[in-house]
Amino acid sequence: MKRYISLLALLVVVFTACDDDKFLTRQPTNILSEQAIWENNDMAFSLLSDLYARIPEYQTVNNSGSFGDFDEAFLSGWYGQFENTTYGYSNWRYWDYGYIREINLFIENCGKADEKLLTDKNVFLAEARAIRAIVYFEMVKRMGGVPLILEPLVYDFGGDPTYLQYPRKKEHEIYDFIISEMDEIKGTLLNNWEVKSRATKGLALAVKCRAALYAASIAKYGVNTPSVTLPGGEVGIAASKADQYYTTSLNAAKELMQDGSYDLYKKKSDLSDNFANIFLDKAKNKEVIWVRDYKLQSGSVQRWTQTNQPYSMAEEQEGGRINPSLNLVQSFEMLDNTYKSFDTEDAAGNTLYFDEPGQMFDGRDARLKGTIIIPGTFFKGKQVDIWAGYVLADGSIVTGTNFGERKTLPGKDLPQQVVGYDGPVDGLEFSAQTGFYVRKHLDPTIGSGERGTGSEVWWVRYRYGEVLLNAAEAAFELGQTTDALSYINEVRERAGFETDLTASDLTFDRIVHERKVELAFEGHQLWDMKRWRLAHKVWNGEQVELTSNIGIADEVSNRPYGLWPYKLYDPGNPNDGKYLFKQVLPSRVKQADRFRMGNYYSSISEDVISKNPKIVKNPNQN
Amino acid sequence: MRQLLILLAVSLMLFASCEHDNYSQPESVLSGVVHYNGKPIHVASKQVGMELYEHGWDKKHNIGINIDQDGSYSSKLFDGDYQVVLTPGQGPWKMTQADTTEVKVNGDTKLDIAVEPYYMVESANFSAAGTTVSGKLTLDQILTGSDARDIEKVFLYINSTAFVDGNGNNIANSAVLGADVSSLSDINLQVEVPELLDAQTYIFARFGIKIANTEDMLFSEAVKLDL
Repeated sequence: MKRYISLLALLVVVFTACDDDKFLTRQPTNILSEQAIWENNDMAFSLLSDLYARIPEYQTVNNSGSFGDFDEAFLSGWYGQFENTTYGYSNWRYWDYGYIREINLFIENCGKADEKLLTDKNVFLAEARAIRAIVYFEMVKRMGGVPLILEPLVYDFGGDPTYLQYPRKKEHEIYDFIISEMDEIKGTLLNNWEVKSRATKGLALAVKCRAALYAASIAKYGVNTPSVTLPGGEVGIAASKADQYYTTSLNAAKELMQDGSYDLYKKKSDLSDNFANIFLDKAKNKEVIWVRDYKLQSGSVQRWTQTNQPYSMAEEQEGGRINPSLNLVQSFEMLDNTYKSFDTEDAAGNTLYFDEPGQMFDGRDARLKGTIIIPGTFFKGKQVDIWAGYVLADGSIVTGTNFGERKTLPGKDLPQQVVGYDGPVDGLEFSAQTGFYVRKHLDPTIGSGERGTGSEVWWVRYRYGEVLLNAAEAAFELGQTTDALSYINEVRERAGFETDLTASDLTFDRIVHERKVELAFEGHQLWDMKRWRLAHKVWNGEQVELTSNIGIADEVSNRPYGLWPYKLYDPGNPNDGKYLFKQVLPSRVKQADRFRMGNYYSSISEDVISKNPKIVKNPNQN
Repeated sequence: MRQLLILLAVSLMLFASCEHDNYSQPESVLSGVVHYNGKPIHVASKQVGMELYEHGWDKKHNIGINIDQDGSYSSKLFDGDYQVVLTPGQGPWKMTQADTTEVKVNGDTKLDIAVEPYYMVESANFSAAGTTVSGKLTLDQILTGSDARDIEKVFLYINSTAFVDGNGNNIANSAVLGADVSSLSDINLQVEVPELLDAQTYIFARFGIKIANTEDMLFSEAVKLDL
C-alpha cells in the first residue's frame, strides 16, 4: 500500500510540476536577446559605443612608438625604427570587413526597431553610418579603393561564393561615398558642440572637409607619381576632379565656420600654455570637435604621460620616450615670419653663449613651447634638467653615462654633477637624446605618469584649427588667396604672430609647413605626406645633413637630429658657466627613412586576394 | 619484457609511420639574369622583385624572388609550369606587357629575361689613390623619344663589403645632379674613404644612377679596389 502511495505521489509530481510552459521558455538572464537591445535606448547605445571603441588609429596617445616612424621624433630606447628604416609594403595595412559587417548589422537591425520604444533610433542610425564612413575613410587612405559593402552579406551555403566577392571600387568612389554620407546624416546627428566623443553635425562637416581635401590633393599631386595608379582607378584620382573636391572641402569648412559653434581655443594669456591646453581642457572647449575620450578609474585610460614624462620628474621608472627632432623644432618660425636655423656659432665662427639654455629658443612661434619641452622649461612645477656636460677651455668634454652623474672637474676637489638628470646621454634609455621632450598631450595632473593611474587626457581626432588649415589649403589651391590668407592668419595669430602673411608669402610650401608645426604629434603627418605625394621625396633614404632650407616642402628630412646644450667650464673666462649648443645625430640613428612608391598604398594580403580573385593588387609591390 | 615490447612497438610506430605524407623538397633550380642585349642589368640587392605564379591551385600566393645586385636571380622550385612576372613599377627599365613569361621548370632550368632599360652602363672605371676613390662612368641612353627619362642624380658609392647600394649599404658616397652632367660619356666622381674597421685595405665601389620617376636605381658592377 505504502508503495502505491509513493508511486501516486511521484506521478502527481511528474505530471503537474512542469505544466507551466514558462519553465521551458524562460529568458536566459545572462544573455541579451537581439530584441531586448532594440527596445531600449541605453542598450542600443552600449552596442553603439562598442562600435565607437573599435575605430582604428595609427599614431595616437597609446601608440607612442609610432611617432618615431618619420622625422618628427627620435625614440629613447626604442631604436628599431632608426636601424631598419625601409617601410614594408604591408605597413599601415587595414582591411577589417568583420567590423564593417557588424556596423552593417547594427544599421540593418536598428532600422527595423520600433521608434516608440527606441526613441533615439534615428540618431543612432546616423551615428552608425558616420562610424561606417569614417572606417571607410581609414581604409581608403591606407589601401586606396576598397569593396564598398553596405549591408551584411549572408552566405547561402550553396558552394559558390562568387556572389559575395566584390571588386574594389575606384578610389574616388570611396571618397564620394564618405562625402555623400556626411551630407545625408549631418541633419540627423546631434547638433551640440559640447558632445565630443560621439558623432555630431560638426564632425560630419569636419570629416567631409578632410576627406574632400585628401581626394583633391591626390587628384592634383598624383600627377607627380604616375606609377602610383591602377588602370581601373582603384588607386589614383583624375586630375580634372581636383577643383571640384577642393570646392567641396572649402564649402564644408565654411558651413562649419558659419555654424558658429566652434572656435579657436583662446582661454589662456600665455600662448604656449594656451596651445598645450587645447588638448587638456575638457570643459567647454570650443576648438575640439571629436575625440577618443578616456576616463580615470573606468578601465579606459591612456599612457602617453607615463611613456613620455620627463625622466627627472617621472612618477615611474620610465618616461622620456618621444624625443622631438631638431628637424621639427627648427621648423617653428621666428615671430617675424622668417625661418631660422639654430646657430651655435656666429658668422665669424665664434661659439655663441647663453645665460639660460631657453634663450636659444626665444622669439619663436609660441607653438614651439606648447608642443615641445625645451631645456630649462617647467613641467608639473619642476624644471627639466637637460644639459649634456661641461665643455672645457680646450674644447674637450666632461660628461657622464648616467642621469645626473657626478665627476670632479679639473682644478676642483669635490665631484659635482656633470650631466642633466634628463640627460641627454647618447644611447641612454629615457634620456632626452635629441635634447627635447614632447609636451603636447602631456598630462600635468599628479599621478598621470603612474602605471596604476594613467591619464584621462583625450585624443583629439578633429579640431577647429585643422578645419581652418584645410580651408586655407583648399582656398589657396582654388586661387582664392584672400580667403586662404584670412584662414591661415587666424591660426597664426593664435600662435603669437603679429604680422599677417601676405599674398606673396602664401605658397604651397607655406601650407605644408603650417600643418607640420600646428598639427605635429596629432597623427596627420603620414596621410598628409601621402596625399601631397611628397613622402618619397622627403623620406628618400639618402643620408643627408640636417637641412638649412627650412620651410621647403620637398626638402629631405629622414633622420632625427638633436641639439644639445653644454655648460662652459673655464674659470676666469667671462662666459664660464654659460650655455653653448652642439648639433648632434643620435648614434642609434643608423639609417635614413625610406618610403618607396609601393608604400603609397599598403599591400593587400594575399589571403584576401586568394579568397576573392576580383581584388587587384596595389602598384609597385612585390 | 612486455614493457620492452611495447617500447619497441611505439618506437617502430614513431619512426616508421609517417613516411606517407612527407613531400620531397624542391630540387630544380630556376635561374637566369635580367639583361639587355646579353649584358646584365645591375640593381640594388633585395629591391627589385619578380613574382612566380603556378596556376591551378586554390591559392593565388606568388613565390617572390629578389633580383641580386648583379642582375641574376635563382630559386629552388618543384617541377611545373610557372608564369614569371617582373613586379610592375620596379627596376630601372620600361614595363611592357611582355614582361610576363611562361616557363616550364623540369630539372635545372635557365631563363634569361630581356628588358628595355632607360640607360645602360657602357663602362665604369675606378681608381684609388690614398684615401680618395675616383670613378669615371660612361652611360648609354637606350630609350629615346617619348620613352626617354632624364637622369636625376648619379652617385658613387663605396662600401666595406661587396654589397654596395644606396639603402644603407655604403660607408660613403658622393653625387652629381643629372642637370649638371654635360656628357653621358664623361661622368666623373670622387669620394673620400672614411676610416675603416680592422685596418681593412680594400673597399668596393660602384656607380648608382637615379633616373627621374623611376624608383630603383641602375648600377654599375661592384668592383673591389685595393687601397
